[in-house]
Amino acid sequence: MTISFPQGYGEDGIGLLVQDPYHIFIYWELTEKTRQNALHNWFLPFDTPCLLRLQQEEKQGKGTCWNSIYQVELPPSANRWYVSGLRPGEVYRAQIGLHNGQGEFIAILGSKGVLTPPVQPVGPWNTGRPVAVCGGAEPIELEDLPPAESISSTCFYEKSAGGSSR
Amino acid sequence: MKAMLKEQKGYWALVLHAHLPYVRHPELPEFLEERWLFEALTECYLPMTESWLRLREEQVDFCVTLSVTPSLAAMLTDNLLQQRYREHLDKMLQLAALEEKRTAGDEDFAPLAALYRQKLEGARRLFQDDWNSQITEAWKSLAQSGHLDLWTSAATHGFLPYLTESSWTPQIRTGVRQHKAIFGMEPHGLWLPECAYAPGLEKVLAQEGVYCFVVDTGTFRNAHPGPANLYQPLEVGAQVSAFARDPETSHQVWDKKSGYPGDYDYREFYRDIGYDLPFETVAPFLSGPNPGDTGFKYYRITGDTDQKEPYRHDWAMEKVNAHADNFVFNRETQTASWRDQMDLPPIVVSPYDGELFGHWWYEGPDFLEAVLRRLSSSESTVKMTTPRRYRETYGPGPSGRIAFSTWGEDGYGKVWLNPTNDWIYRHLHRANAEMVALAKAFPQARHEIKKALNQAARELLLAQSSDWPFIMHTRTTVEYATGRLEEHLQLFWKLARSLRNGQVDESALAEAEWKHPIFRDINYRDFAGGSEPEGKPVLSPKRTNPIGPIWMLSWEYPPRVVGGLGRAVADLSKALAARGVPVKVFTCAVPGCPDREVIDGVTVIRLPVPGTASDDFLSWVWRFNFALLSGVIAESAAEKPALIHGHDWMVGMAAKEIRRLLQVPLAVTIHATEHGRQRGIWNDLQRSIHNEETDLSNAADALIACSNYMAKEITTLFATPWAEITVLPNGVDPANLMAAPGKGYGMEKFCDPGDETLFYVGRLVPEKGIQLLVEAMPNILSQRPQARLIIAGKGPMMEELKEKARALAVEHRVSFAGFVDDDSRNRLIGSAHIAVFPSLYEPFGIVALEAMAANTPVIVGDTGGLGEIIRTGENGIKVPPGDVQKLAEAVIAMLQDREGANQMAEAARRDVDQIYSWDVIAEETIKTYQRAILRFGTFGFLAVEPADEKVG
Repeated sequence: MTISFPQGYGEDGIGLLVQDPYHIFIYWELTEKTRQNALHNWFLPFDTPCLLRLQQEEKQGKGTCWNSIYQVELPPSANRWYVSGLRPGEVYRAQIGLHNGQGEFIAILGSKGVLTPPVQPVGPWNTGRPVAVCGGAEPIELEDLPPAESISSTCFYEKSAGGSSR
Repeated sequence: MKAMLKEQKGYWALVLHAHLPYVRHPELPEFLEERWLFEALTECYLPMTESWLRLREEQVDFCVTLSVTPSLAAMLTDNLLQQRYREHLDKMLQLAALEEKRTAGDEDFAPLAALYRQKLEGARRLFQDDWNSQITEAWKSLAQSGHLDLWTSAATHGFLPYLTESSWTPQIRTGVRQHKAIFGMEPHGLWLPECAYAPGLEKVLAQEGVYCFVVDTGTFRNAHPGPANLYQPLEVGAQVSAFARDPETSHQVWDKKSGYPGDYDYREFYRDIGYDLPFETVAPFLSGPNPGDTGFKYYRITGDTDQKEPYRHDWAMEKVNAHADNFVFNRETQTASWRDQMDLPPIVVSPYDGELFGHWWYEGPDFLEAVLRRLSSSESTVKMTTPRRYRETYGPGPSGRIAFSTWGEDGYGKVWLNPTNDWIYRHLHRANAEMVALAKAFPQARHEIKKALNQAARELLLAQSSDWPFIMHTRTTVEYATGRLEEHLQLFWKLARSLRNGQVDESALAEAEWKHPIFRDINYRDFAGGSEPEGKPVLSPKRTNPIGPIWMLSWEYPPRVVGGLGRAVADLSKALAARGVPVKVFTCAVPGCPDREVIDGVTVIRLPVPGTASDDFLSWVWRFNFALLSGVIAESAAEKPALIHGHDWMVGMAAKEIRRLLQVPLAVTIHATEHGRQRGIWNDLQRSIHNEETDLSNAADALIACSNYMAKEITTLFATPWAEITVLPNGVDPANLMAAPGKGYGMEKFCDPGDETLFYVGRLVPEKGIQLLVEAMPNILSQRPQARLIIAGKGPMMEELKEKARALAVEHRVSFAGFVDDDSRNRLIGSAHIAVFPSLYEPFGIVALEAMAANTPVIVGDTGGLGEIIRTGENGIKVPPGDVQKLAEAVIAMLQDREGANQMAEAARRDVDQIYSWDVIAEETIKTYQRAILRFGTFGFLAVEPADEKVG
């Protein structure tokens, strides 16, 4: 079966999704028309590369300012990107742009701000009492449960390949 | 709920989440993936239902929460799928008969074959005979008798945080609506798909009358202002309560090593005759071309070995009882332990995927029944409850805030957003933006148009199912998931494209309705963002205006006019009103002018501001903004605007606050920047203004600049994305350039007959460049001695200019008219030989347009907006800014070539009529407003064109 989705919609746009407190996913579409108009406007050569910039919001008194924390030159066909190493509980926004002749970043597309979820520094979950669990392959007694419970949603149709190795 | 017994320590709430993606393929006699539903029915839903009915029959006191997703409920109530399930059961019973024959005499396997046949017969009896193939009726009955709380979920189990907010109401409301239709009651809560929460969802839940949902353990641990107690609900806003998953009970059931299901005496999942027997034996009973599960499994887990031993059902039941004892024991000690630390009895919430019990863990339903029996005993210190009942008894819980989280791997979004599936979101968001545009374009569609819109909404919801990215991540049936996504989006776009043309793609509609007859009561208007929940009438009549009320914020408005801004706002407002757009302008009070009046169809509201601007200017601006905010909020009691349009930084604070408080989109026009006016930022006052301009630009849903020059300046100064700026020129109304008969004075006041008049009107400030024109006069006069310069306007440079004229010995050919009234200005500009505006900085240059409208040839400095309006030799002449020599040459050339000058003036007048007419600009402004409205509440795509409103 041939699956077909359009490469783009012929429209400029940029979207930001938070994967987790430390990672953000960005997708965009910069049309050739807009890119050419921008190059023309700032008198830049046709092969000027596009840039992706990520900014972090900083509140200042009554206003806000945006600090650039990440910037990368994009390969010509790139239309999505992951940025890692971010901080929990902060607001970020992404921009696609160009360097003008003076090395300044000119924003062409820009996203709204997104908030990475905050993370509290908490220790392992303590049940507060000895817990005796019978059954299972390895009956155990626990006082502390592991902190990062990997409880993925087991949907009905999920089947792992191969047989059991219990 | 029974009164608490003296020794009761707390509660346990079992929440079973039953979900399957909507799989229905009428185009084929059977379809592999429909088997998911059949297996779930046989192994999970029917055994649990039978268990509950039995407990009710025996008057065992219990209550359980069952969340049934709308897609699952739709399949369970679908006649075609019910019929196919009956056929499936028949086939399985045939297989059971063959198995009994095959295993006859085998003391290990024969009893199991008999057991499976009995269970299948029981399933058929329950499904077909007792409940007429409608198992949802059994659940409804159990809910009515108080044994089940029934929850719903988002319509197609969409991963809400990764859908734009404009999809939240359609997903949730459609689910709630269907739940009511099937179960005849309001849902008792809502299961957020994948427990995926995003801030703001609680408002939508409350709007739909839902007040309970479940989140993962980590969500509470990361709550604000601090980690929340897992054993009571947390009120997260709008009186909605979140309940957290208890990690202990999750661990006891889920953990691969120490969880109950891993016990060696339980049935081994992966040993099935569908794989163990020769393919040709089982093939007639499989749905696909490959070996697969039949449910006939004969081995137990045995141990960490591939050598599995025969399953002993009696051994497994012994373990069920032991594990149930253990589970209840742990609940009693757990609640007792927490009771000592809490003011209220703790509630231990255990959410599980329903399919765990019976499918993955064959003995699961037996375990649950054993637990329910034990907890119903009067000996138990733990009583069963549901989140809804607990909240009704003990309140919504303390207040707090939670953040984006899920119950997926690592507690966030990586299962649904990673390189295997991240590509889908641009397509979903784009389709979403289109659906919003269509919903707004058809406020009251009927007949076929309405059907097509509703079906487009259905297809979009089905595309939004979180099952597709989940399957892509687990790499199980990826081709199927991708194919489903493609199919739904293709059907969506076929319908959407034809609707854009006001038509219906009949074949696409017929195909889609036949294949996906889900959500009979869907309402596409839920995507429009303003429609009321069920039961409330739509208050607004059918709209005849192109767009709803537009409220302008402007610090100046006629008769108070300092620069060009006030006039531009007035002209735009008047043009919008002429097109039927209701416009209100909020501005500051002017002595002698009414607080409220209607001028040219525009309602002008003038708000008093204490103090004057000349004392501490910034403080005055703040007071003005508070006055604006108060005035707008007061006005909003009677009417809500569709959009706020703020002009320049001086209304910035109010504009941003109004956007936030009223939740309406904000359009902003930057007419000029502080940096541009002052050629840089030199002091603290300017820095404050610059910061206000930056904030306002970044807050706008639509940013308007009057010229491409201004757009570039805004991008450079404020880092506002250039592609998001809409360039709309200011306009001019030629009627405003006509002098009233008998009013004002003309050139005769300043000139002698035969003079060749050069006219300037505007503020006498350095950036207007008038000093350059004075400097050019000696050169001009050397070639054209009859030339005379008339300077109209006032400003700080007046004396300097007079002194310059004297110093250059041209004062006899330079006349200073001072401030001129409109009629005099119109006479002067209309009769001048040339109008000259040698600006050094000019965001737009409205006076040039006025000269063009008056049929007067123009010469301008090639800067800013002036440089974009004038095309040298075509509709005027532009010269390099600051170049006195070139300025003189241009004046001389134009005076020498009168015919050429007149031709340029004619071309300029055509531009005025075709490009700079307020009627044209108003139309483009309305489109900008519509895009801002679409953009508000969606993300991703900027330039989705609004669809023309149709009468459908």
